[in-house]
Amino acid sequence: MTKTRVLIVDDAIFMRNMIKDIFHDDQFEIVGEAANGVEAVEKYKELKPDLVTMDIVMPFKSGIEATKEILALDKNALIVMCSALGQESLVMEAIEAGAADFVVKPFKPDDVHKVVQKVLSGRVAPT
Amino acid sequence: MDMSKYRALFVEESREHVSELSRLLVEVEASAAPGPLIDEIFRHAHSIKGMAGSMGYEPITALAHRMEDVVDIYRRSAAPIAKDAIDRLLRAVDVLSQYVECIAAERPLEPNYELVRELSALAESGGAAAVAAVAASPSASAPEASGAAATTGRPAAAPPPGLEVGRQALGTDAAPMPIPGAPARIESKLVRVRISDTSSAPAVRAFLVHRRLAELGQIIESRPGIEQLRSGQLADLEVTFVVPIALDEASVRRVLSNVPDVESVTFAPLESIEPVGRATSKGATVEPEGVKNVSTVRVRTEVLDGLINSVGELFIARERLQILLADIARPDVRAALDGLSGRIREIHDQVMAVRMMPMRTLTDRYPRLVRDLGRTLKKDIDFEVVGGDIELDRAILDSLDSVFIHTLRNAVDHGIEEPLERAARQKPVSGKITVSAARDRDMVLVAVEDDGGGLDPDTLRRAAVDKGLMSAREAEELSARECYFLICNPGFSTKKVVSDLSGRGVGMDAVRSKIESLGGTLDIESEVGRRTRFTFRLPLTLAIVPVLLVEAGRWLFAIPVAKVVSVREKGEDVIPQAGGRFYLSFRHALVPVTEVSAVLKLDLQPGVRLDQVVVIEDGRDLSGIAVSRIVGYHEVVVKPLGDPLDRLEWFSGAAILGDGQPILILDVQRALRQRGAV
Repeated sequence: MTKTRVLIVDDAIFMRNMIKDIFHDDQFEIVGEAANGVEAVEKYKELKPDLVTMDIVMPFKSGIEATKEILALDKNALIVMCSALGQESLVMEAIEAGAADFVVKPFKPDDVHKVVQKVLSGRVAPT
Repeated sequence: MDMSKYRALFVEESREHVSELSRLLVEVEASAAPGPLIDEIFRHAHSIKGMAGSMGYEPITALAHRMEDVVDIYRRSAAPIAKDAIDRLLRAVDVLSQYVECIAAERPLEPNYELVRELSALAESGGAAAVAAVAASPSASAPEASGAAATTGRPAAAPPPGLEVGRQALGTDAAPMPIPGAPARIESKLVRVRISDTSSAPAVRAFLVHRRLAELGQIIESRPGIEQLRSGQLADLEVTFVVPIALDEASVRRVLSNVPDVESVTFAPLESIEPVGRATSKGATVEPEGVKNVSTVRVRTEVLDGLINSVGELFIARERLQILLADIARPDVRAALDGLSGRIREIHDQVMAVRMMPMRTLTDRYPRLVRDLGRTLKKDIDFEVVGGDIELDRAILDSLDSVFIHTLRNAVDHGIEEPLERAARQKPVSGKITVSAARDRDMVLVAVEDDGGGLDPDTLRRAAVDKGLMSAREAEELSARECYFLICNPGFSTKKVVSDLSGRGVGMDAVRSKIESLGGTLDIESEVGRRTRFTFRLPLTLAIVPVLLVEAGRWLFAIPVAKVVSVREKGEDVIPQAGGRFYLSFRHALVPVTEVSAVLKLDLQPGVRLDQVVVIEDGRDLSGIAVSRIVGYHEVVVKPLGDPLDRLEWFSGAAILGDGQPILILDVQRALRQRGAV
């Protein structure tokens, strides 16, 4: 069974570590990390992951901008937005830009797994 | 006919009707004699229907008409209105409210077929029986159940009256009606999607569902609409979509099965909607409002604020005249000036009277709020307002709304226990929350009291230590009352699950600051396991305030007289403490006094003696501030401090004296509270 390759994008190191722990699983392989929108796009191009977790508010380039750019490069990219409470309108903007789904911080590992499973199965099934 | 000038009036009056409907529906639920209340509810719905009919606002007319029908059943049968019917009527009131705001913002109205349908079913089946059937339909095997409810003798071809959608040819300013989707007859069905209540952002989730569905096929209509979802509105976790009948159900289920937090997807038929090109006849005529007994005038609040400002300036001008004329020994001039003073005072009092509004204008909305909160948290709440007629300055009332809402949320969420716990404590199943207001000299005392679990000083002490706010020993030394005030510390929350409703414990800190910025004080009392009471002492008015002018060397300040209990000379028999503090014997108690120079970190000239003590009340405690001279009593017009001066925590405002000198008004409680930190 091939592992799902994940790119983690968040400007806070502890957040990235927490997400890494959540994906610490036989099913996933964490192939890279990025700390801002610019790095996110670069790493995406370099690594072509199966899934991206994307923070919204980041320096240099926001998660929304990065999402738009990545989807322009690869319209099948699977991007899950990680937002804080109160950023609902930004999440909706990201969804309109084409993000696959979202989780709201503080998130429990189960929430993230649930979202990720659904997102992945949605992509596998024929449309 | 130019409808636009009527629009403002329509909006204003409809807002009042809507607010009354909300209040009355909650009241009638608990009332033992619902008859007259039901009549009132009927009249309000009827009025809205009439006004909307004459303005051509078809969706409002349709909804109000159905509400009328439902209420009429209960009016004639004299039966009390069932809880589920009240829920639906309240939901209809919410939709009406949204419609009214759309009219105000000149946005188009979206017809709400589902709600109109539900109310029709309620009315047609004559009340209680229909409620059971319609309530059962959404989550059960939807197609059969709603099919049954829908075929109650209505011909399939003609849409029910009130469901016609079209352009009312009432002149160019008529509000435009959206005509759904395709030009000709559209065969449609409903898709109801229920969002899981564990979703952390239900409106966003619904938005995503909307998008996924839209990728699959046409969405003719959705309730809530996409704009409402975008603004975060999602009442009862459900979205209903009107889609073409051809949309494949299996595809919909498949797509939505890959969306997290979707609890259920159900399909239901909807009769075809025929957009009508002709102007439909108005079903309702404008009926005159019941004759009002008292003639009233509506005044915009900006006009009132302008009036109060002008009166304030008049006051200042009078003070100036007073000073300029002080040297003139002409009794006739003095008499004229006194006469002028009298007239100014009268105008001030009258404008203040206009600005004063009964607390009821705020509290009338709260029974609904508490009811909804209670239903959400599955707690039964008995809510009462005492003294709603007490009047407060409207500016204070505006600021109080958020204070009340937060305190009430706290009471429902943290205060009142779950029913099982209450039973174990031998308390009545319904938690009791009371908002009361009473006058005390020139202050108003407003209290929010609940008979819930109370505040436990020990729990609060432990939490304070755990959060690193203080050491265990310091926590031990806190009195019970000081423990209660710990909850006003930002970031302090002993609730293990941070609830959506009351947030992260930021609230009580904001509440206290707000009360104090209005010139008032907050007091907290509690008995563990029995009750908690929050008391706000507020000044009656903000604008013109009597103050005591005091001096500290060459510095001049004002202290609001309302806070001042007495003025004493320092004398010999004081108990000195460190840091410019001492204890003064006053009314058989020792009052802690701080020198103003210590509080405000002033540099005073040598030789200035701070031996005049102004004793003030801080809630129920007394404390004192020592100054060098009491200058006198003045009435001043308080001007709020703007940025950046409003960051000075010790001052609650500024004023201009008659001689043109600006002075700062000392917020004595806050200043003295700093003394611990100094």
